Amino acid sequence: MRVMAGVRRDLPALVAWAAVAVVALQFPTPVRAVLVVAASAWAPGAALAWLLESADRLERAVLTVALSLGVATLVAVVLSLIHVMTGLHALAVLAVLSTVAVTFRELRV
Amino acid sequence: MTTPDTGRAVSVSVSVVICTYTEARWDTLVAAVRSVQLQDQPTPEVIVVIDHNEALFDRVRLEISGIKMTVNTGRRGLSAARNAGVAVATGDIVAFLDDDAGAEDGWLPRLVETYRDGDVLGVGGSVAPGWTGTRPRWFPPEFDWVVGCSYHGMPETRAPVRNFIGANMSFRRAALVASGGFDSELGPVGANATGCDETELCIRMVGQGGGRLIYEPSARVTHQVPATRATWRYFTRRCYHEGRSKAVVARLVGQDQALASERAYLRGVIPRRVVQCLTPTRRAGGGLTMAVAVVVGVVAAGLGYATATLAPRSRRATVRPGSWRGWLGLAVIAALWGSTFAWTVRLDRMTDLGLVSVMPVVYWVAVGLLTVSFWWWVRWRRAGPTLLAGHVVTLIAIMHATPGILYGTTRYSWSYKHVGIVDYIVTHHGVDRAMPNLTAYQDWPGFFGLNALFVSGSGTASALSYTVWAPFVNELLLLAPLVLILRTFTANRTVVWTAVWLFYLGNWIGQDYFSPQAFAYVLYITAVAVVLRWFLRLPPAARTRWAYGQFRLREPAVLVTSGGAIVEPTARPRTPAMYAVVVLVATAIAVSHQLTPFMLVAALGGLLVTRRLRSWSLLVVVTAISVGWVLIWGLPFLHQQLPAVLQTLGHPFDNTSASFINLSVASRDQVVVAYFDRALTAALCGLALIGAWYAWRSARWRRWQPAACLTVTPVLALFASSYGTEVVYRIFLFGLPFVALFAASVLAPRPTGTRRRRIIRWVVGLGVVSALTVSFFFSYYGKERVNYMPAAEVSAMERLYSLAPPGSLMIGAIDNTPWAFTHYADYQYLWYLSDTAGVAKSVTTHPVSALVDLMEPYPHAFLIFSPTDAAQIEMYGALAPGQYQAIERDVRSSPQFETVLSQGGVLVVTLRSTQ
Repeated sequence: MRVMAGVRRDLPALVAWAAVAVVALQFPTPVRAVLVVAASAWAPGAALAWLLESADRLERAVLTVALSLGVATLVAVVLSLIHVMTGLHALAVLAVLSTVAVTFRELRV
Repeated sequence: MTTPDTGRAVSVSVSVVICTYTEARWDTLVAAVRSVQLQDQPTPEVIVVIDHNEALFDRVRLEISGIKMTVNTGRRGLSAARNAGVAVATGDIVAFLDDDAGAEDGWLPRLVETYRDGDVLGVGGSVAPGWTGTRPRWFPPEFDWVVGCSYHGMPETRAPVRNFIGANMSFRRAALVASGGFDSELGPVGANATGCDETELCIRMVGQGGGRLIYEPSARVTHQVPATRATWRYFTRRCYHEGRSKAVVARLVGQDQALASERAYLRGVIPRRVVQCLTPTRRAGGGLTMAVAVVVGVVAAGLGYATATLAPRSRRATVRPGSWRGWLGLAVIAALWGSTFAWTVRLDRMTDLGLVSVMPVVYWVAVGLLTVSFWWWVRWRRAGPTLLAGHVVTLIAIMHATPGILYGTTRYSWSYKHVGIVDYIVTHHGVDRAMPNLTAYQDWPGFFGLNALFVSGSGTASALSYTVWAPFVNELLLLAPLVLILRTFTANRTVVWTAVWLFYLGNWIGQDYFSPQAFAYVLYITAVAVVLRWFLRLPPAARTRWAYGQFRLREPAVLVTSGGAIVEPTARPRTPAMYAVVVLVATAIAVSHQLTPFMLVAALGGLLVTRRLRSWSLLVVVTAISVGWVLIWGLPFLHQQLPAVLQTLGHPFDNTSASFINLSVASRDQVVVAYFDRALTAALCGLALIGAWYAWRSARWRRWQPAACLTVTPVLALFASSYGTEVVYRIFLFGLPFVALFAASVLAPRPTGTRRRRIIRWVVGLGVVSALTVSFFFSYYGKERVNYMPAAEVSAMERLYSLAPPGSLMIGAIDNTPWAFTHYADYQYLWYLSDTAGVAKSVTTHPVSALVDLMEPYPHAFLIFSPTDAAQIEMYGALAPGQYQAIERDVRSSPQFETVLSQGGVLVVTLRSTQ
């Protein structure tokens, strides 16, 4: 049970790193597409969700997606401006950010 | 604490939950709270749960001190309300007392003392009837459960039982939480006569974790029994519903467990009472009338049980019937819509009425049925949000997925340019702000960078592989934040979902394609939702409603009352996190689109000026980010646009008129389309004005004033620019959620009046919604001849890009053909009708020589004639009818040009080599 709880807690970071892995290993497009969307439209927001006080499930879902897309957009912009924008780079940054967010949550708890 | 009997210490804390739903029980509620507060030891935490009643919330907050308050944010009814109380309880033991019951001295200590046995999961006490009048002589004591009280036949000393009476029971909080709490599908709603939620819980708790439930009759409460319950009618009805409830519990936990106590009761207690009643020597037994009552009660309960067993409608005995019919209807509608694609839709026969002119009848039948079905379920049956959301998602699919599925290609020529920018970032790993073409996109790269992430990460060849779904996805993404916004203003589900429906009917302007503005709009709506829910300040008089609304949104918030002095939740929302969310989203908007950040600034400014924004610094920060990005990255673009901006600045009327097409030169069908879109916009705005008028005249205005403010703030853009002749549409789009809210308040009033009156209102509402639906399809689908990019044309343009050497000039009349979607940076572009007036005039008067003059300076120049350019020119009257085709004929017959490509109606020529 404890292991499952840990996995659930760390899932955003795990998903983000899984996306990095399938992109780096050139998996087929459908697999990559699913994980890339999850890593950029869900994972960062889900990793930060513990910060949000809202108990409204709909609001949490909206904020999770909005936060994720916001973070992914800003990461992509920064990488584009310094001309190192690739899917792998962006996903790696998102994975690091998601991991940091999850870790902070654990430290806080 | 010490127990009265033993004097031994038991260190436990207790929370007492009292749920209430009506002001009619105000006096008994106050008495119930008082009776608990008078319990000397242990000092309990008293939690009053308000079940969907704003006025009551207000009164409790102001008049009852020293309690914790919370509200039931779940399904209306006692079960969900009890769960809401448990969620905020902190005691080791949670006791439940009805709002029309009063605890007697020693109630709590006697309950608590029983928990000394660690095996005890819960303890219930006895409930004595407190008849407000005299007890009816015919009312059998064995049926006191009818009025929620202990009855003859129950143990008279402490004993294990299967279940408790809801008016007086307690549980260990840990066990209660572990069990999942009360099943909100069961239990009474308001004054209806269903029940058994506590029975089901008790059986489930013991089944899940073992342990015992103990009945302690010395822990007594008195339950008020009003005269309305001392009637035959109530007696029979309650028995019938008890039977139904037992059937539901039997389905949930099995017949053996659900009916074990009842069998013993029927075999022993009931026959004994009947015999007593009919024995002449024992008149105290109640006589013949009481015997009849016993028989009637048993028969009614049996009937209820049989009805619910033979024709189970749902888990809740009196749940809204028929929601499965709603889903079935929706499935039929979806199937009808799906069958549209089995028909051959002749897109090549599309007239200037767009898709409206070619869609098969079955499609319109699906649209009509969906409209009627939605209106039926939202206005007549008041269905739950899931079914209504299902209708809205189906509407979005029918409206916005249909064109993409039919075409198989991405709509809107602008989408292809946006794909080109994504392609550039994927290829060059960054942006180039010195690019001569499409400069603004390089300066606001947020949306394009994000899509470059998707494309590069997924390994797909181009964003074109998914952009066909962009309108559907963008519209779908708006749904949840839109509901959040609307729920901030009203808890009335009918108004919320009618407003959602009107929003989608009103969103005809087509800014939902693969574009930065569509992405930024989704973020804008989200940011506004967060601001409205977390940063809104309301006048003191409306603060109760605000607090109630916030409570409903943020379970488990707790309000500690002190004669109305404390109105803030003790679990204060951590607004810094929400502040960061708004700033982050605003930054993503600022780097993605030019106009949207300033719409957000205007919205925040409007709220601040009307003294509704709690945080002025939020406006400062968002403004700094928006302006900062323009100054740092967007200055070259701004500099380039400055003359046009200065020209339109402060000219709202000119900017307004620039937004409308010139009906004198448009085709006849396009005039019809224009009338429909103007009528749709005017109708929605008209309804909204009426709604605003009603709101202004009522107490609702205090709450809804921010909505009015956010309807108006986008109008500021009218003073700034014509925004490429689109400013009016953009203003309408940004105000639309609030326009829809006000309009919905007119179309979805509370269901009052006679049935006939309600039917008339329903029919009139359906008529209005149907008219809006017809207008939407003319307005939105009416431009599809321009928006439709035939596969053959896309493929011809792909071929052109593969033939044309880098550095070539691509030249065409206008830019409606799909272009720039690949290697856009390697080419130069010229659109002679959109260029200077001189260029346009010379090409239209002397086409061949003028075009040769334009193309000659370039080593390679390709002149494009395309069906989509022709369609747009024809529809909007950019050239006289037939003039575009005449230019094409002249070029084709001129010896100075040679054909490079002729495919799918696209003709591409280049200058014939003179060598």
